[in-house]
Amino acid sequence: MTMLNLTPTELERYRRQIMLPGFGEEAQQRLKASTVLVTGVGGLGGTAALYLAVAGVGKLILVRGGKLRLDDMNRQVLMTQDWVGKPRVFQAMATLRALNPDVEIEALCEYITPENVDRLVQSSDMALDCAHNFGERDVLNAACVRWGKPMVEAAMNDMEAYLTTIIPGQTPCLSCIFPEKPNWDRRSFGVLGAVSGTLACLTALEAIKLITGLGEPLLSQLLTIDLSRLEFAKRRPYHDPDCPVCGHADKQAVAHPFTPPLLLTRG
Amino acid sequence: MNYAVIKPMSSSSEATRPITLSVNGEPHQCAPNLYLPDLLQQLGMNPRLVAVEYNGEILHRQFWEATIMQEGDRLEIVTIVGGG
Repeated sequence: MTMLNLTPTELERYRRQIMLPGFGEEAQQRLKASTVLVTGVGGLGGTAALYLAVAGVGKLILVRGGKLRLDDMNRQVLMTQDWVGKPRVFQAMATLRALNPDVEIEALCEYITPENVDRLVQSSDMALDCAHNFGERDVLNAACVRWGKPMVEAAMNDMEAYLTTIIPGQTPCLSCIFPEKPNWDRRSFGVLGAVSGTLACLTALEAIKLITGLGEPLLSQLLTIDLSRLEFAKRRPYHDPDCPVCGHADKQAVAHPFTPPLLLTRG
Repeated sequence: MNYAVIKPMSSSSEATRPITLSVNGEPHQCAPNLYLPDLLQQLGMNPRLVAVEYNGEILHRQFWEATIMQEGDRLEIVTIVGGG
């Protein structure tokens, strides 16, 4: 791993988190050396990207197609009303740059597809799966397994959410946990910004933990969240040795077990 | 534990005596000898779209067809969601 020196400005900006027990300058350097792919830059992914940007992740790759709608504005806190009708991912990039000019940001106004996913995953150290549909989620999960990249899986519906952190070959993948996906209307569910934002903060925290080694990420644990009753539970998902997506990765991983924190390489 | 040993009952009433499960933290009565997929359907859930934690561990679906509900079983049913 290439350790990147922190500038005086960075040391001051991140002073309060560097103070955290178990964090320090080394964790901050790990963040600076890392690239995180965020798919689905909406109420969930956009807010997660915000917390990664202010935490000092070196590079964010934001991938989200489509234009900003007025009914996005109850939760997409990187956006402003005058941007309605324009591609949202570019304003996400502008807002994050204004918040933290030391973060490099690449923005693509595209959805995740089998054609673009491999390049994006290979360019990143890890991914946040925050898409609003199962098609993109499955494509990203398979690519992260293919390239051995960790993925934080975060999804929500109404007042419910779940979260898990996937390390291919070590933990269950999305396909192990939910082998089949329902028909899903991405705009059919109600959402409060405080709900998608709560999940987004936990999602960003998982990435920070995995990159820095701080605390314990949700490996092989599925956190289920019912925000209507504030019930949080950790469940143990089944790791399918014959999973059509990650079964092969498991057999390879026996020879090369993954140990957090990430051994980051900068391309 | 086995009530029938203390007070023998006819096999017909034993077979129809409801059992009580815990489903997502709430007590739930159902018929005895009920298989898990049938319970899920009775609960109005599509068995293809949920994960089931059965007595503390998520149960792989290959075992669902052979899993018969027992008195006191604890089930947590997680519905798949995909919003972001």
